Amino acid sequence: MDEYQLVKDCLRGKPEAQRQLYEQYAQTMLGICYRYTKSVKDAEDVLQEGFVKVFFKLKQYKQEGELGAWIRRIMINTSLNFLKSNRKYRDEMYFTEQPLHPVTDDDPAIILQAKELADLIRQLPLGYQAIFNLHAVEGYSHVEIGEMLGISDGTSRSQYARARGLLISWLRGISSEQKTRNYAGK
Amino acid sequence: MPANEFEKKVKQRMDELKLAPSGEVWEQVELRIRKEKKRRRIIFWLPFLFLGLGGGLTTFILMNNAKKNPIVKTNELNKPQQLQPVLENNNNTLDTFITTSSISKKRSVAKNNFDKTKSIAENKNRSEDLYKIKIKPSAIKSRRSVKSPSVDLMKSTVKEITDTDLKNNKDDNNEVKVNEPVIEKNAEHSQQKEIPKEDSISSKEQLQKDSTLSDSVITIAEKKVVKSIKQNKKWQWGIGLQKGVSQISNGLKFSGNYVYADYAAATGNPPGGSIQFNKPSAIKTGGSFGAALFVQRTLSTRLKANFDIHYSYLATKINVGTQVDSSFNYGNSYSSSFSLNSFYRSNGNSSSYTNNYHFAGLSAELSWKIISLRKFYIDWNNGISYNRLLSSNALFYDKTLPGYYKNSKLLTHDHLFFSTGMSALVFKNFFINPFAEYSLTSVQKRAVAPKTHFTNYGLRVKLLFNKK
Repeated sequence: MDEYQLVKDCLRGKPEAQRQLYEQYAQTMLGICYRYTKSVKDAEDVLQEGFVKVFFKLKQYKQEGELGAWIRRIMINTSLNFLKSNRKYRDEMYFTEQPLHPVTDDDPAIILQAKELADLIRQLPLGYQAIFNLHAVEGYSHVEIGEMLGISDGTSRSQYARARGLLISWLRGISSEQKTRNYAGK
Repeated sequence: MPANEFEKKVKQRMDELKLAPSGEVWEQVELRIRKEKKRRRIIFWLPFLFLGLGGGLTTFILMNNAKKNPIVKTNELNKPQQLQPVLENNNNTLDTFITTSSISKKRSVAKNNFDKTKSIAENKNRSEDLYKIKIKPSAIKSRRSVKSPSVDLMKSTVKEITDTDLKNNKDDNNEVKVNEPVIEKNAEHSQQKEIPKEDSISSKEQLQKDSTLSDSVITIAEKKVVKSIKQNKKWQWGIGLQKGVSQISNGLKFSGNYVYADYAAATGNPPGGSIQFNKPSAIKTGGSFGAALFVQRTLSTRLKANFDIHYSYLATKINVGTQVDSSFNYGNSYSSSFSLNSFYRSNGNSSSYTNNYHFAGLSAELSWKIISLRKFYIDWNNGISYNRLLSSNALFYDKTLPGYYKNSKLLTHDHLFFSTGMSALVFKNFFINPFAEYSLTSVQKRAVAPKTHFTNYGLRVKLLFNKK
């Protein structure tokens, strides 16, 4: 079934089409939700909430862009709303404008698998984690991020720089550890 | 877009990230879609329902008003001013004779008009028997001073009969037979009479006396109608108390042993480890009571509207096992991480536990008079009430625990109840009202088990304070 027909059937309320749409995108979308939250359970809660929104807002989908990209945007917004509304996350999510961390040019090689890298990103403080995901992975500008999170673009920039710095330092540590292991192995 | 190589690498790696969600996610999504669809459908039809009800009510009220209007029209057509010349001519035609046929004809007109007034009086004030009023001739004059347009109409009609007939039929007959009484129930004035020719003046006096008496009766009837209408339009207030039994069911059942339970999988471990699964207790009926302060307004002879503010208490009973007083963190997929200070085991289910529900709310009710006797009537009441759950100690069953624990987050706090019942007038201002109500909303917030609803039935007594 092509995407157009799938959307049409979903709009008609056909359960099998809804199930198919869910199965087609659930894994990718859970990956997105996973990056923004701190536990699989929370990620699944966001995924559930996000898909409910997808099915009820499907008539707003204009079929101009990719359906996947449209669902992705819903998942990101749902994730951010979850962070803002959930007390556990809200208390932890603070943004302060700090001096920019110098960005190094010698980027480390990413030797980690997708899940491992995502776990590393999830080790970042919550504010850093959200901004890093929004800028580095989703490609939003700092102005857009500022609007989305209700902070200034300067704050977004500084938070991102610190997040990036932390992540690079961790990656370097992992990389050097790996090298040592490899060397010892030889 | 970040142009840096590092960001590109991260993005590329993250786009590869795919995680398989648990099967429960789709189940919940599906459940919520259905629930939301149902809710939206209700919201969609709600305005139409209100429109229909509003339209029906308006039509009903308008139709009721239309029934009253013909009298007003008759009054307008027969204004007293137009009839004045006829009345003035009265004095010049005293020595004339009256024919039976013409008088009968005109009297039937007068009687029809009077019957209309009588009909209104009957409708508006059933408890009064208008035709039992006996008026002393001495009291008549003083009462005549207050007249409404309808009384003038009646008076003028009677005068008209007398005067025009006296004028037009002076040569027809020597005797007159008044076959139709002016007021049927007024026996002493409505007997068949023979009036001799030479007594024509006294016969006219007799007729005038008849018409005067009918004026008086009509005046009182009119006054009573006006008073009754005014009184009925007033807001009346009172208090109500109710006692009954309540139950939780999964449909329109007033008994049953359905048990609502939180079948969610637990993520924490209770102290002492897991205990073998026990069947949850059946829910038994519990006592209920309530108190209300209400206002009432009569919309028509048969329809009344009631609004109240109330408190109500509902209860159910279950059997639980031993209580464990030990605090630990517990959680399941519906209530993430909450602390339990105590819970009840389900082993044995030996002691009785009462689940209490305290509500406060507002209700609107329409009463339709189905039986109406002179001093007794029965209304059929149907209403909707909004109830806010103030507090509850209700226990939820969890098969993984296994046992019962309190979690008010799982309860629905805003409820919509439908109620129906009969209301009978026992004394002057005292009503007895057997009732049954059913919550349209589910007891539990989460749809973890088949939906359950409150049912409550019993007896309500109402005392109306300013009923006259």
